[in-house]
Order: sequence, then C-alpha cells, then structure tokens
Amino acid sequence: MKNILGKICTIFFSLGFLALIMTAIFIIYALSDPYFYSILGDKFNGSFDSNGAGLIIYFCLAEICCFIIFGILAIVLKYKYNESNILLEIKIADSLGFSIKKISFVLLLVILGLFFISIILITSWIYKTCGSLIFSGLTGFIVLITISFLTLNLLKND
Amino acid sequence: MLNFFRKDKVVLALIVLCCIMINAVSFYGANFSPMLSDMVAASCSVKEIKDYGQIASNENIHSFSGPGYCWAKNTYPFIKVYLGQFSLFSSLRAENAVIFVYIFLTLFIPIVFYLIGRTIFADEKIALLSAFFGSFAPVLARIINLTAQNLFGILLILAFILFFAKYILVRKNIFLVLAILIFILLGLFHHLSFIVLFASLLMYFFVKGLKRPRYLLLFLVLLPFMLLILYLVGGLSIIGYVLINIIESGIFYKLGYIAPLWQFPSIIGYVLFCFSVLGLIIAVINWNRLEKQREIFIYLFCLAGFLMFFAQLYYLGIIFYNYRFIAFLFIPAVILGSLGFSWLLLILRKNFTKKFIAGFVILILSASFVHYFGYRQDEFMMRNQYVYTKEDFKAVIAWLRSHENNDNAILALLSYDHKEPTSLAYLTNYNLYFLDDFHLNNFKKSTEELDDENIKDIQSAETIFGRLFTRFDYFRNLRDKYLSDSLKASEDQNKLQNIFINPDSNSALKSFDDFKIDYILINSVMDADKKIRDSRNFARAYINNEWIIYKVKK
Repeated sequence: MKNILGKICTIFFSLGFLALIMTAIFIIYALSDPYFYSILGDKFNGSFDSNGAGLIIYFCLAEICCFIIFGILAIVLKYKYNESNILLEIKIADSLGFSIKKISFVLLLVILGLFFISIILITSWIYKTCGSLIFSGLTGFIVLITISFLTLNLLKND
Repeated sequence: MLNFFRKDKVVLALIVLCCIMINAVSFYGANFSPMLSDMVAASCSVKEIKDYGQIASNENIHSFSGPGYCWAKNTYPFIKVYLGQFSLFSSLRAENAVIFVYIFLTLFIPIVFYLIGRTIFADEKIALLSAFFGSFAPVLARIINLTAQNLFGILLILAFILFFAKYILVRKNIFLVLAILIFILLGLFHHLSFIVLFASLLMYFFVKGLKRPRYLLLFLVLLPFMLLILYLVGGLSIIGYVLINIIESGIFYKLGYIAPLWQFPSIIGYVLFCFSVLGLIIAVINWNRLEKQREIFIYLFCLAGFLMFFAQLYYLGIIFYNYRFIAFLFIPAVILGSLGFSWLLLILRKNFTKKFIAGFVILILSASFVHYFGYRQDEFMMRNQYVYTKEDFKAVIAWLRSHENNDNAILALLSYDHKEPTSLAYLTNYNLYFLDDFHLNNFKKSTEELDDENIKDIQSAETIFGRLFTRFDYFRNLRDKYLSDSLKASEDQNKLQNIFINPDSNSALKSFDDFKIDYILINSVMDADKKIRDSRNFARAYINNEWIIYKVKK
C-alpha cells in the first residue's frame, strides 16, 4: 500500500510524457501535411470535432491534462514538504488527508474515462454515418469489448 | 466466463466481428448503394454480365471525368466474373451483390493476418496484435471506400506471404506450390497487386543473390518464367502502359496521386507507424538470433523497400500512382508493428505492474482505433456522400427510365460534390457520357490561351522526362501507340466540352449527331447551365430542386 500513490503518479507521468512525445510528433506531421490543413479547415465540411485530426488532438490533450494535473500536484507536494523522492512516498498523501483508495479510484476513472470518451466518439461517428442508434450502439459496444478483451489477452501469463 | 474471453480465438472472433460491423455501417447509411466510382464501375460491369451473360465491352459508358464509371473489357476480368456469378446465384441486384462481397472479404483480413503472425512468430499475442493492427490500419479505410477491388489483391498477397512463410519455416513443398498458385491467381485477379508482388519477389531474389550466387542463378531462371506468366495474364501490356505513364506523368500529379515520405504515418496509422519503426529496430538488433524468420524479414524489407522507393520517385519528377503502391506498405508495417508492440509489453512486464500495463495498452489501442475512425470518417465525408443517389436524383432516374429508348444517349455534367448521375451506369440502359466541371473549367481557360496542338502536349511537357515526348518524334510515336485510346478519348472530351462552351456552334451541332446525344443532365447550381439555358438548340424537359434535363432539338 505504501508505494501505490507513487506508482500511480509514475504511471501518469509516464503516460503524460508519452502523450507529449506523441503530440509533438503529431503536431510536426500536422504542420507539414496539407491533408491536415484541408480537413482542419472547411474544405471537406470537416469541423474540428468531427475529424481524425480533431479526435486525436482531443485524445492527446486529455492525456496531457493528466500529465499537467499530476505534475503540478507532485511539484506542489515536493516544494511544500521538501521531499526528495516525492513520487514514491505515501506519507505525503497521508499528511494531506488523501485516502489512497479514493485516489486510486479517481485515477481508474480517468483511464476508463478516456477509454469511454474514445468509444463514445467512435459510436457518435458511426451514428452520423448510418443514422441507426441500434446499429451504432451495437458496433460501439463491440469495439469496447474487443479492446477490453484484447487487452486482457495481452496481459495473461504465458 | 472471463477465461472464455481470454481465449485468443474468441478475441480474434471479436476483431472479425468488429471489422465486419464497422465496414457494414458505412454501406448501411447509404442503403447499400455504391458510394464511389470504382464501386459504381464494378456494379455497372456486374449488371452487364447479368444482362448479357458475358463480360461486355461497356461501350455505352464514356467517362471523361477522371475515373471510369464502368470498367473496360480487359479490366479485372476475374473480379467481374466473381462478382457477376455471386450476383446471379444470390439473385441480388448488381450493386448490392458487389457491396456484400466486399464486406464479406473484410472478414478474412484479420484472420489471415492472425495466421501470418502465428506462423512467423509462433506467438498468439503477436498474432492477435497483427489481426488488430491489420484490420484497423487507416489505409484500409481508404481502400474500402475508394478502391475496394484492391481487397482481392491484398488478401491474395497476404495468402502468398502466409504460404511463403510456411514454406520457409516448415520446408514442405505443398506450401511452395500453394504460394505459386496464389501468385498466378493474383495475376488474374488484380494487376496492381501482382506487379507489387512480382517486383518485390524479384528484389528478394536479387538481394539473396548478392550473398549466395545460386539465388542469382535462380533469379535469372525465374525472370523469364515470371515474365511468361505476366504475359499470359495480360500484365505486359499493363507494364508498357505503366512505363509510359511513369515517364509521362504530369496528369497523375494533377490528380493528387502523390504520397511523400512524411505522409506515411497518417496513412499507416500513427500508432502502428511508431511500433513498426520499433519493430524494425528490434528485428535489426536481434538479426543474428533470428533463424529461419530472417528469410521472411528479408522479403518484407524488400517489399517495403520497393514500395517506398516507388513512392519517392516524384522527387525526380516521375509520378505514377505512387499512393496506390504505398497502400500496400501497411502489410510489412503490421507485422513489424506487432513485433515492436509485443516487445515493448515484454519490457514493461518486467518493470511495471499489470495495472499500469493495462492502462497503457488500453490507451494505445484506443488511440489507434480513434485515429482509424477519424481517418475513416474523413474519407467518408470527403468522398462518399456525393455519389449515392438522393431523393431528387431518384425522381430523375424515374423520369429517364420512362423515356428510355435503345439509342438514347445522355451527356451528364458531374461536379466534385454532385456525382449522382454515375448511378445511371447500373440503373439504366442509356449510352452515357460523363464530363466534369473541373475539367470543363480548365478547358475553358486553356482554350482562351492555347491552340489545340499545345493543349495536347501541355501535360506531358510538365516533367523533365515528359519533355522527351514533345521534342522527339520517336518518343511521340511511342506514346501515341500506348496511349492512343486515351488520346482519342481526349479528343472526344474536347468535342463534348465544346458543347457547353459554344452550344450554338456548328461543331456543337455536329457533336450532337456524332455522339447521338438526346439529353443533357446538369445540376441546377452549375454555371454551365447558363449557356445551355439560353441556347436555341435545347428545350427544358424536366426540372426538380436539384437537377435539370435538357432535350436536344433535332
């Protein structure tokens, strides 16, 4: 239990860092790719929130938000309590009155939230395409369970 | 229950189901009607097979608007027969049969990728990742939307790689025989894929031959054998056409068939691209540890090398369909990407908890999916919504059907966002001439500035190599020999375009008789309507909110 908060923070730092790198690469490509210019504009009637560039930017932004929130939290904690290895010290969370279970729960919600945002975006696109709520809902659900069970399968022990 | 879903076959089944559902919804939204030019062309060809019981010459459809809305007689004969037979046996309408077969084919993509992954790496996780990345590469979204007949080629190339890998790993001759059969079958079904496989195999044997001379000998023996096969399947004439187009290439540049290096990630998928680079590094680092798999990797590198080389020819002023070639790059990318991702998971498992890895995997897979869907939606919005028939055009079809005679011909003007008249190719029996307003406007400008001779050569003169054709008679004759059909079509196009520019001229009147045109079909928002409306040679025969039909006074 003692290192859980530290590990969770590490996870989000790592994910956030990865997101920053991905976003940087993405922006470089987006800036040099006329295709993105065209879809970011109104040439193909593609509004910002309904095309590939928009979706992936939102995704990266969400990950970057995690990075920033937990980064600020860690920096504040570090300066306030002068801890050298702040990420791995559970006592700071204790001293702030955080419940480890609650923090874990919130973090779990963030990951699941990102996941479900993706599914909702995908489902809404399918709905725009086919106009059937049942069809799009069913497809979104199948996408959800496919990713979930593929993840489970990749994590199982050999 | 949870253990049931952890079985790799169950996950594979979910990926397959996902793949079918996603591809079906696009067509569901359009009432299972063709949405793009190649699908219209396939439907038109299938309709002709149903009507005449054989592959027809499709002489009654003439498209001067870029894509052909009915495939020529020698284009994809086996695909036509396959689709036509299915339509006959299933009693489905031509366009529905085409769409059903294409959706059905997508079922095999994850399955074959899974088998390839399992064969090469003997690892179910890598096999599942191959199935996932292979099914949801953005480039596939474009292929299914734009040139769905490529699915035949992609599946046969994948089958070839599967049997080729099996042969290398197991050394049973049956797999070699199957690979050769697939190779020949590919030549019959899809010429572009055949050329890709052909060239990559030649490159493979050449690379092998550099180290082991007996492979070079094999290369020299195989070359005439392969050329013979190429000749038998009609590929040589295509290669001649390809070579001419490689050299005289301005037109393809104008059509946007370019894909520079920095576009690769968006086509293959950002996530897959990152992991395929990682996979490439892993494969190179562990090169000495790879045993029999090394042969397969050499082939994959040859395939990727050939495709990337072709894609960059435009830096030399040579452009030929390179986007079409790059589409195949996702095949080696998927195999390498699965290796890279599984290697990363292996490293993470040594250093992090399962919860961390689960979060990482979910985010990566979601990001991959989101990009795929975003790309797919762009493709759909950019291309699909303009082709399938809407209510106003259904009324046009009904009117035209009620006035149909055997010799009637329609001249229809298309625009980027109004291509509904293409459905006439499979819904009516009219002789059809399709023009588009983009070419028409260019023609208007060029006729103001240039004489006829210069118009003919303006496109070829744009590249360094193209200038050869305008300077030397030998090359000019060579071009005319290979491109005589397209030059004839270009002349016809100019005559028809002239109708819209000078509708009251004698040349326009002569064109009406030459082409036996009875009706002109125009969207009401098009500028071309103005001159036609004021002309004494036309009478308005039908009008609704979107479309106007003019009857030619004779």
